[in-house]
Amino acid sequence: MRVVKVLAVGASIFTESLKRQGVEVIEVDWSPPPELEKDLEDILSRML
Amino acid sequence: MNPAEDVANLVVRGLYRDSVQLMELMDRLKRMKGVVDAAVVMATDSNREALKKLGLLTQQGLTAGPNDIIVAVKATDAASVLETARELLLKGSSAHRKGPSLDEAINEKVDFASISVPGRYVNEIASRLLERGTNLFIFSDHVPIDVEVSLKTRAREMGVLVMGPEAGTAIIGGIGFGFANSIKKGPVGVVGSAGSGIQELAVLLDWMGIGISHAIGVGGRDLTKQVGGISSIEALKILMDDRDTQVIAVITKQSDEEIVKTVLESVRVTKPIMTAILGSQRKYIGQYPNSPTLHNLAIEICRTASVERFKAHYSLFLEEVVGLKRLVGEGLGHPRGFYSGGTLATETAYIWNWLGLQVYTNMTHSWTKKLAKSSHSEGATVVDFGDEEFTHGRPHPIIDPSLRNARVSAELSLEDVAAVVMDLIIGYGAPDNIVEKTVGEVGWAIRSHAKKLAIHVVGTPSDHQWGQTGLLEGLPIVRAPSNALAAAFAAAHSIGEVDVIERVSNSLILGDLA
Repeated sequence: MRVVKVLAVGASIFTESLKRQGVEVIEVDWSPPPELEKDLEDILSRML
Repeated sequence: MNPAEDVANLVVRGLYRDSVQLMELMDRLKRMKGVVDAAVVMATDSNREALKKLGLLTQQGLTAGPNDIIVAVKATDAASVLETARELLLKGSSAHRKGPSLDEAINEKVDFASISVPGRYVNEIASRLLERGTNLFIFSDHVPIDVEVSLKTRAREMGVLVMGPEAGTAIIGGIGFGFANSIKKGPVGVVGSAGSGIQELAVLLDWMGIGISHAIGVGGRDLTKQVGGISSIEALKILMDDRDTQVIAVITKQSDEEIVKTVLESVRVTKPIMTAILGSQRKYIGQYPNSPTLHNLAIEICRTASVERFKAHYSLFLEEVVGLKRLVGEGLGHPRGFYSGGTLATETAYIWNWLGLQVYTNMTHSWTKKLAKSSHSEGATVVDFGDEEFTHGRPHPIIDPSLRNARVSAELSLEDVAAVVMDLIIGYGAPDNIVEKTVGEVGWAIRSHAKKLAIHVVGTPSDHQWGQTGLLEGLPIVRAPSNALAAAFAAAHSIGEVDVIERVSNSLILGDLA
């Protein structure tokens, strides 16, 4: 097994650590999907 | 509250930052002039409740939802602090969005994927990557156990390796994932469900001049009955076939010994295997020797790998023991242990229990007593600050050891405490300023009280923070070369018997060699 290229999703500190070791890192831009309940609340609050 | 101080909140809607980024911003705000207190959190229900308890939540903060960030400050000029916070958050925002989305990146050919998102989102991301045949390192916790079993079963079918969920550490061909150290390459393969245990073994072997081929962290629950060691079996097969691996170590904590035995029986073994099931009294797991401490495991491996190196280490070890014995006084009080690494906490509890002390802890072992409250020590206490109760909504204590360090400082001032032992984990995944921060947080307390503080640095001279460990030399602390020796020292000083170090060394570290 060898590690040349890594796809990283999540905490930036781990992504930076991989880069520090010379690994080619594809850093995925990730954020949690919107909360469905909150979306509904937002829609309702705009309608009312 | 000083009338000139004001509490104010800023809500930034629809912006996500991980707990480390939020902590970095919080630290920066706390250092600003006129700031009494500051917090930066995703506005989940529990985080809003925590802000309320701290007196940092305003009407503005109450309007925030779980996908929003709340910046809360108590300061003499709160408005300008919040403005700075807004600029820093939005500046980070444009930099953050430079990367591709998962949809855009999913077809890239990669060797591994590293996943450290909140547990509820792991299944979707990991499943998609698995179907592409990508090996996974999953740091996240709070992943449902049925998801773990399903991911690992699918990975086995596809011939792909899944490390985690709850994998703290892995070193693959010299590259560290999660919390790991810069370690020499060498003949030792490791399979472990215990992150800080893998780090301690790797660091001790490095000290002895022995390197690691691959250290495969399988996740804290892999060796439980529910998961049945699916990834451990695959990892052992990989190491058996690996040309660079000559000897294999298996490290677990709080796991079912029978599962480990079953796992070892299910693999065609062609290389020596040694285990450390921390907390277990057994000398053998099946036909394989089991070590009571990680230092003992490292010594046994060293002896197998290179007689020359073992002889050199043995002399050095005896010198260290003599040095520690000279520092033992008649502390006459309780020993206390406060850890960022759970496996190291277990090891210390085991050593103190073996010495006949009744150990109180927040961990679950048949041979310890549970603390009524983790925040209140009783007798010989060991607390694992990586436990869920301390990490909810906060970074792991290896990243942010502030709570642990505050506890160390507080306990050093207690009359019935004779000695405190703690770990200081450096390396990949730990902040660049981890040593400086820790020295800053415990320095005053150790200079102010005539108590002993034993510290074991889990790191190697190749780790990027190693240079900072010189700061420890300026403190009246006892620096031990392994956690087992640090635990032995704290117990010896508390009981007021030098021979305790000798007993632990002979029976739990040197073992048959003594």
